Amino acid sequence: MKIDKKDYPKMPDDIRDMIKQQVENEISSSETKVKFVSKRRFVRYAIAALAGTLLVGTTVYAASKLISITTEKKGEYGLETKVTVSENADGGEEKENLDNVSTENENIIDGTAEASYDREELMQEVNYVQLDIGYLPEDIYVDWTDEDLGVPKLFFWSNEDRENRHFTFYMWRIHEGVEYVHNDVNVINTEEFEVPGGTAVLVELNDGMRKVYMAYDIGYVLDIWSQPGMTKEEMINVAKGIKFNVVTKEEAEGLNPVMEAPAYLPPEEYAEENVVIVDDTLASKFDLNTKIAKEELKVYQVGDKIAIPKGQGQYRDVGNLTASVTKVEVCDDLSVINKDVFNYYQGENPDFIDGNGNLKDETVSYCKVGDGVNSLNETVATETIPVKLVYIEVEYSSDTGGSDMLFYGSIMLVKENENSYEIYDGLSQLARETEYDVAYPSYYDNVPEEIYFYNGNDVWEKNHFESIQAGETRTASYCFVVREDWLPYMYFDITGADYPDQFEKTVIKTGLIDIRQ
Amino acid sequence: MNKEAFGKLVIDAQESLYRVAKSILYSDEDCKDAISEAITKGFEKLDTLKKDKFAKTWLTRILINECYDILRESKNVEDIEAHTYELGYEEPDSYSELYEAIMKLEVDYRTAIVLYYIEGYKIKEIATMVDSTESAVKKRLARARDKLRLYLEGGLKDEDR
Repeated sequence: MKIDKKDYPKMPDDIRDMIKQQVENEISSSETKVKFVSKRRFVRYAIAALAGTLLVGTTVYAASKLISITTEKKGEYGLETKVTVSENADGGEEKENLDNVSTENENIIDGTAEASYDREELMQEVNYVQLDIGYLPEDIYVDWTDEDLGVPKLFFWSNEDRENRHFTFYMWRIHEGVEYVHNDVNVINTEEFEVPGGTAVLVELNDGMRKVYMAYDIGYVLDIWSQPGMTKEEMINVAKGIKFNVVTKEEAEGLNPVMEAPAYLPPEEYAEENVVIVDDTLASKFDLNTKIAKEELKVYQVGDKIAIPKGQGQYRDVGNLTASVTKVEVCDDLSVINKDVFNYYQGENPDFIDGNGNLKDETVSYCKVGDGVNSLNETVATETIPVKLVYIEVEYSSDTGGSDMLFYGSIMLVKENENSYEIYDGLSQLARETEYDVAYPSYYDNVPEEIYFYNGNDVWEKNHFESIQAGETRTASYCFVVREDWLPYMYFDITGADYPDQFEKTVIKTGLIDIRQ
Repeated sequence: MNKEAFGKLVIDAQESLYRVAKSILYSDEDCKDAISEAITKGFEKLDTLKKDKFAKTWLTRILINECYDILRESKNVEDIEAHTYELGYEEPDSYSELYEAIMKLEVDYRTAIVLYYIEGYKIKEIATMVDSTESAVKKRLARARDKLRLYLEGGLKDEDR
């Protein structure tokens, strides 16, 4: 099986012509077009302006407080945050206005809204909000909006630490009679503070995540969810720096940028349409084959030639294929592998390599999971485990030759008993002695992790041999990170079936290669 | 990056953009919509592009989001894959076995496969484009390869007979 772009459909001429024409239009235009060529319904997402130059003022309706935000502790670490529109306004008094924004905005609560709501109507409601984000940390940039099960949001990412420093905005319109309720667990701190046009509650969780719930007097809620890499001060400053203006759909077309704020409905309103039910009883019905009689599994040694059965998926284009593990080397550093290939897959400075080019040892945290209301997640033990690099070479050959061959390989951990082989769980002595629910490794997987493979020719060919001539031998190389205490349990799976937790049928058919050290 | 340079990049990348769209959306009509919207947004947001060398990755990411929007607009979450494959637009009589097999995969797997194997992006770049982690992308690729192999094995068994 070769995955090649020449097997992909060719672009039709009308699409090519469309692209050419559209690019020419864009380049020749003297102003940014708001152009909609899609036949679909109008949905306009855009990023927030950073400089605030597009928003020259803020419309604030100084109504009496229409919206209230309250919090209630649930147990020791649970928190319920509720936002309601609790009383009718006396009618808004406009403080200042944008020249280009209609004052007859039907989305603003004018105190005449009825207490009950029409579910169908609210599900169709779309409000358009122009945001001005007055403060962002230096490394954070605004990303385009996206939908999360029907809820539009704005992403904010760090260009230095994307994994840990990012946060997201969600925004809703709250109608009278609708309660916005959010329950959080593992809460270790809350703070309330004022923001322009409303009130905010900061919620800090014990894993470092933070949420800011902001209720605005004109009947909108804005949530910010941030990752542990963002500081509390940064999130409070972001919240305090936000201004926004509600505009109509027609005005939104002429403005840039706007965010969509749907009418909020309690989660049960979406139960049928948006919730994907995961049947977690399926796992219990799935019998894992973790033990096998010795006579049922072929085990080869390094240097043995193994016939790869025909019809093994990726090998099917090559007849009479054999494979042989010819080299197994245990190392501490990367000197044995092609550095350019390694950098291609892992980047120039992966976090698991220290300043001397060696693998960092693994650190595992063993945690007991709390219920989040009366107990927190707790780290009950940690340990540092040395790791090794296991470098493997495999030679493939065929007396008939063929083309388009994929190669795979993985390391399974197997314990040899007197009459059987058994999947080895890989647990350390400390893990066996500690009562815990979840083990969190810092750098690597909980199984031997493949960090490198190479066909010896071109990294762009990835895990392919474009051809094997009759009588030719091609060599593929692999590298895995393996905990030191796993070395005596390593068996190489040449099918790369990727099921390290059981003896899957292709493994039983092909066999394993003993590479224990 | 100015508009002219970006325009040239769009033209140079058009085949790649089509292949990416075609991996998420089966219909050429939908692909056309998604590409058009992506180009519009790309030009509009050009001033937010931090580094020119990431322009193609950035544009591809916009396109992926547009494709997902089109999928979501048509059906609810559970039916996305079924809808994609069974859309009744006029399409060519046959595509390659590989393409048909890829289109049987879940949309996340298809995206990972086309970005990695067809377009040659690195795992890290793909993680950025699909808003995920590198380990999640690796898992998707591994499972996608596994399923693809099974689909193609099944197809070949019929032909061999």
